[in-house]
Amino acid sequence: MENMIGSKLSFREKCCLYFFQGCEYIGNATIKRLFNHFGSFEEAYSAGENELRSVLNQNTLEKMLAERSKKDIVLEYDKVRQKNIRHIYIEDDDYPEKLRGIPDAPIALLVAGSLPNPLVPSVAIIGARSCSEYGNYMAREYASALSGAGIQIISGMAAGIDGIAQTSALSAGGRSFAVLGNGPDVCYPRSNESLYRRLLLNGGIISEYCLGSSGLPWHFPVRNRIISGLSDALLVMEAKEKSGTLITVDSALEQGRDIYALPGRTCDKLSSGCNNLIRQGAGILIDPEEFLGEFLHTLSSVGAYSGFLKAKSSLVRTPLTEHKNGSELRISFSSPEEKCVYDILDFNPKSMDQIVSAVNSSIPMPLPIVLQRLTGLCMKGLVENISGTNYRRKV
Amino acid sequence: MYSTVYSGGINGIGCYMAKVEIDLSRALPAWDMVGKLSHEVIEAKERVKVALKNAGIVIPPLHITINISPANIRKSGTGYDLPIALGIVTALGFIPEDILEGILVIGELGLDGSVAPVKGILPIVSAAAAHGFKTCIVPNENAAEASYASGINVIGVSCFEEAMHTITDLSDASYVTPRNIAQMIATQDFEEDFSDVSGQAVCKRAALIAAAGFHHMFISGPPGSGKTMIAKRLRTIMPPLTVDECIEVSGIYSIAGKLTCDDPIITRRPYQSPHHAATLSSLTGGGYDLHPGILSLCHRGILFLDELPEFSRECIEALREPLENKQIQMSRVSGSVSYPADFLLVAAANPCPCGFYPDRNRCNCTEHEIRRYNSRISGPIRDRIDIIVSSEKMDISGLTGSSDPNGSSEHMRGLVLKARSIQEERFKNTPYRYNSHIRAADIGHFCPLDEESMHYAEEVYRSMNLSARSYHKLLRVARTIADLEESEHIRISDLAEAVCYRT
Ligand SMILES: Nc1ncnc2c1ncn2[C@@H]1O[C@H](COP(=O)(O)OP(=O)(O)OP(=O)(O)O)[C@@H](O)[C@H]1O
Ligand SMILES: [Mg+2]
Ligand SMILES: [Zn+2]
Repeated sequence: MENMIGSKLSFREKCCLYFFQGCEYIGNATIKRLFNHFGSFEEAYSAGENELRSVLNQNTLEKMLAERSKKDIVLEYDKVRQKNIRHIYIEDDDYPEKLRGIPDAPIALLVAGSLPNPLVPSVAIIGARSCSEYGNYMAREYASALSGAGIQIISGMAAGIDGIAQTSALSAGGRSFAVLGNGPDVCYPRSNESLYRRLLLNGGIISEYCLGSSGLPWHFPVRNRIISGLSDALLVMEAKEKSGTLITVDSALEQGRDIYALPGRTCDKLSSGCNNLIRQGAGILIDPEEFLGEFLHTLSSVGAYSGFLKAKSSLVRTPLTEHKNGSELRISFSSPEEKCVYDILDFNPKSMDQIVSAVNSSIPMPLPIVLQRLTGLCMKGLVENISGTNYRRKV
Repeated sequence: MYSTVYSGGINGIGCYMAKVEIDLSRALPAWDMVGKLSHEVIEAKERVKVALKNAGIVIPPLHITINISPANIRKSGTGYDLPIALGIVTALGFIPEDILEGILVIGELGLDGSVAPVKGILPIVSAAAAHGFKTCIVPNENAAEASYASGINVIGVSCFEEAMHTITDLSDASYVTPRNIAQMIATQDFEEDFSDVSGQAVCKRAALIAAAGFHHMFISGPPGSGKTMIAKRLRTIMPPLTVDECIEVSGIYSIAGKLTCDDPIITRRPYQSPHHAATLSSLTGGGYDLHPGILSLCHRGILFLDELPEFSRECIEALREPLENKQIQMSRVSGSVSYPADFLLVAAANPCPCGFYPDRNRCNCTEHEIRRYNSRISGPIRDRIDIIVSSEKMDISGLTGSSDPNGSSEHMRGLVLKARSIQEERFKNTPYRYNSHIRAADIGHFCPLDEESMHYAEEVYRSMNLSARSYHKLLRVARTIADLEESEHIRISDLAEAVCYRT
């Protein structure tokens, strides 16, 4: 009964609440309506058919009655405790304060691992599942810069940007939290298995769905409100024009969170969503340090996280006062050819052939020389090799 | 009444000389055949009987016993028809008995007495010559092929009666003379040429290195980017086959029944590009009648596997053995046989299931899909590929641009030949022929680095986080690049270039 301590609900109440959460066809809002109508979850659970009809429609009612007759709610609820997963009701003390205020706040959360520390700022990093190398790289940069500064990274543990950002946050020694669209005990996608395990140790897995629940398609847009709800700012790395990522942006806007987007080339479909956000007024992500300074500055100007900010005062920076400039000039090249090859590269991977023909239209040089310079740049850490035969700038 | 005729057969890639003994006795009429014979050899009985009858020779009611030795080798094929028929007429006294001494006879008989071609003539006749046979009688359609065996006179016959007449009067026989192989090799040319490929500088350079050091290569690139073109042209820059190699390769084709009278000898390096739906047995060979597969038909040539990840896993795994041992071993009930399979592998694949990664405007594949697609090529195969490059879809300006004279097959072949002769010198008295063959233990000896390049190589090893295996591959490729540049030592520039092709 340990996890009942500090809870506003009795054990029995929690069993009944968990039962309603486990009914796929009963949503968060309906559970709240049931509670308001009956005054307690137990009343709602044991209510007669006719009573229930005033809250539930016929179809839902039938399914619920059928499920009620075959489930042992105590046994079901026991599984949650056996798996060391906490069930936190909205009125409970440890329910995240930030979430209480959002529209359609989840009535209860299941948490494996821990919840974000309320005294430390959190930033969500989200984006496309099939991201480009550019998005991949930038997600890593932002995640490691932010978590290096002690900020918690929130995301959805999806393939692509989400998982990349969370992995880098953990690797940088920070903490990260995943909000899932399925049960907290289910690792989806499977390819993020090791990330899932690391998150349990250095962060947490959060979900409003019951154990074993699989991610139904409509879960994902709904859980996005929790991602933005838990965060102080939302960073969008890459998104196509119409994508799930933009649903999270909508909830963030509704919740009044700050939105930042990573600009991209106008011809890249994966950047079109971001570029549009910037046009609509989202903050622009130019440089991780710059963002960090600006973000902390905003927090301090509203008086939030004062303890945290005191320790990080050196990082706080008023926006747009300092610009990194001339970073290219500081690189010392071993030869004009090396500079020429470097100048041709950017953050989008280019194939050797593209590099060779671009080089030849600036300073013609024999193919082996181009390849040798490319290797030289890689060894200096200025350029990196992507998927075997493609190269892009690292700095 | 007894007679002996000599013939021969194929066992895997090897040949054996067979002695066909015939005994006719006055006993209850019967026809017995012994000597570990497969059913098509036993069926010779029916073909021979009718063919003899149609040639006007009546076999009296006798007990006929035929033994084909050596008895420990399983005999198959239809080549024993003609020796059996000649043996019977000899035993019946139509031909003087001692005439057949020192003559190898082989051929299939039709019911009308015509002599039909059989598989494996070239290696059998070559083996006969080595065994001291002076003359051979083979089906007319196989005569051109047989003539390339040196040290033996070849007589082609088209029907049984012709065979009988030729044998009775050998002094009159006309021998088939071969065309000059060396000359054929020297004058061959290819329809395709590297100058047809516009752009693709990196792929062409990689092809040059692959041909020079016999390095297996892998081309990754979107559909229509010229992967097939490059692979097809690789043999145009490889050194021509030697005469011995021609005979060796033609022998495999002969056994596979792939030599024709118009094309009785292979003088070009073979090129095989099986479809990805190919079955395991079509690749490795074997089967009931034990025939060489595609992997052996490209011995000393190019094996091009387009869309490698689409091949079945068992087919991909089957590449391991030939890549490692340069041969394919087949276990059979009757013992094991092995086929040579020393080919240069060129594998190609799209970078992802849709083919357009990393162009995210067109490619929607998830990371997981891309990883799974690429993981179908297992580590052990990857490990044996020394060079990886990507091919790029050309834009229109690239395709219409003028061609570079240094990009012609002739020019490139010149460079390859130079690098090959350097390797020949290097590997004198060693089991190696090419840089790609150097085993890990000998890398230090054959790929020496001076202090400066050693330092650089260590730097590469550390900063690129290489495995020992990829480090060795890097040195082998760098060795070939240095050979192409005619540099005795591996220089930093050779290593730096090799890094770009690492796998
Ligand atoms: N670099 C090039 N130079 C000249 N022609 C080219 C080049 N690349 C492609 N082509 C043209 O495109 C055709 C397709 O090339 P090829 O079959 O070699 O491509 P591929 O990469 O093997 O494609 P796939 O993946 O579809 O098999 C060629 O027949 C040729 O006409
Ligand atoms: Mg092709
Ligand atoms: Zn794709």
